[in-house]
Formats: sequence, C-alpha cells, structure tokens
Amino acid sequence: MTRLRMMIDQNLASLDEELNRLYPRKIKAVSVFDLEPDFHDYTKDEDLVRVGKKERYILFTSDDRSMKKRKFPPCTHGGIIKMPGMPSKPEVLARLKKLIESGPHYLKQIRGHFTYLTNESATIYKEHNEVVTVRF
Amino acid sequence: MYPNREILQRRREAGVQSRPSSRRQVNRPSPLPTQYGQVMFVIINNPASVSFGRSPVIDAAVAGQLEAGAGEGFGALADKLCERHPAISTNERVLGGMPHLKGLRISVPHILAHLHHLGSVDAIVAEFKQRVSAEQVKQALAYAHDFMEMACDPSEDDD
Repeated sequence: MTRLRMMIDQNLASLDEELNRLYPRKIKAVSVFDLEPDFHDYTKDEDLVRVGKKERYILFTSDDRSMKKRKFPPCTHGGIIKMPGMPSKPEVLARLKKLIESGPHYLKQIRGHFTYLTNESATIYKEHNEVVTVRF
Repeated sequence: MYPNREILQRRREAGVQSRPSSRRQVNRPSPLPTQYGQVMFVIINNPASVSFGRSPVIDAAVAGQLEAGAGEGFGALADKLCERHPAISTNERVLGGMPHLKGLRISVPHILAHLHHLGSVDAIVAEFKQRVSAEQVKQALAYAHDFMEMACDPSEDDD
C-alpha cells in the first residue's frame, strides 16, 4: 500500500489532523507548525523544501507565489503538491480525495515531483520534462 | 498573458518596433497608434512626464506602480505598511515576498481567503487551533485595507 508522508504548510491551517483522521492508512500528515525550530525557524521557502527532502515529506501548500517548479525542479525535493486558487478546506479535501482515488500508480509518482492539484486534474511534472496528467 | 508578452503587446500597440534581428531585416510601417497605445508609448519612454491619476486610460494603481518603476511600487508600499502594522512583515525568502504574519507562513491574502470561506475572525482563530491570535488576523485585515486604499489613491501621501 502506498502511504503518503505529507507535510502540511501553515497556510492550510489544521488540515493535518483532518487528513490523519480521514485516511489513517493512506496518509501520514504533519503540520509545519509542529516542526521543532532549530537554527531554522522553517518559515523560509528553501528551509521548508530542504527539511521535506531530508525527512522525505511531500510538501502540501496553497502558496502559489513562491513554490514554483522552476525554482524547485523535480527530484530536488521530497515532492511538492501545490493548489492554486486558495481553495476552502472542503474543496481541498475533495481534491485530495479525487487524487487518492486515482490509485497507487499515480500516487507513487508524486514523490520527489511537482504536482498541481486542481478540481479537474492533477498534473505531475517529473524529471526530463515528463508530464503526467491525471483527469478526475 | 505572460508579463513579457503583455509588455510586447503594449509596445506593439504603441507603435514601437522591436529591434530587427541581424538575420531578418524588417522594414515595415508602424501601425497607427490607438489612444491607449499613445499613453503607453509616453509612459514607456518617459514615465516622469505623465500626470498619474488624471489619465482616463490608466488607473491610479497602475500609474503608481509605473511611477516607482516596474514592479517596485507595490513592493515598496508593502514594505512601508509593515511599519504601521508590526504583526505583518515581508521577506523575499518567505512566500516569495508576499506580506505575511510575522514568524509564520500565512500571507495576508491567505487570511482574506480564510475570512471569505469561514466568515469571522473567531472562526479563523479556531481553524488555526489558536496558533494565530485574533489580533494578528485583525492586523492582517487592517493591512489589506490600508494597502488597497493607498494603492488606489497614492495622493493620500501628500496630505
């Protein structure tokens, strides 16, 4: 079974608790709020991506401005899922549900890659300009 | 439309010809500039000559941005407003420079989006499990208000 380790960005509030409750066997979610600050306070984009790679967490964020695949190309991080449009919590959960229901074949491909998650599809950008689109 | 394409489009409308490449010498007459094109032509070539806020074509917000230099006007305003609202800060390395709650990765637009979805300050505080205070949320709203007001009416500074 594919179990996604996800790191929920602060701008998505308390989504980690909701995900752990809804998908206990499919998702292990931690919040960026819960990262222990050391010499980083984990508010900077690069620090967050670095800790995601180190701990093998997929960063789940609605930050559309700084998390760009040109800045963080595929395979240089643990994986980034970005949701454009600042959706509401029910909408975020609906999008994730569709992604999870698309099956383990696609879920495996999210790790280390850059994914745009919308209501209609998930677009996974991989290395060597390979793009996988999952239509819901 | 991509920003570069937009600039090219404006220059094209203003009748400014791009430099012909060495391989393909283009020598065609410039198209007749429209009213919008004429205004953009003046702004692109001499921004200081335009009296912003009075043009029927360019609104004050865009004019203020152009006056301070492409893309720098709103950034400078965002930084300046942080002095008035100490709970808000800007940092190039946090959320790409977007104004955010100090010490957190929650931008002012995120607060506005949460307010839109949840409907009240208390609901936002509850949603964040008390990791964000009501005072921080209110400061973000006040910041957004001031930003809009000053971006749309740059003449306020003169008072």
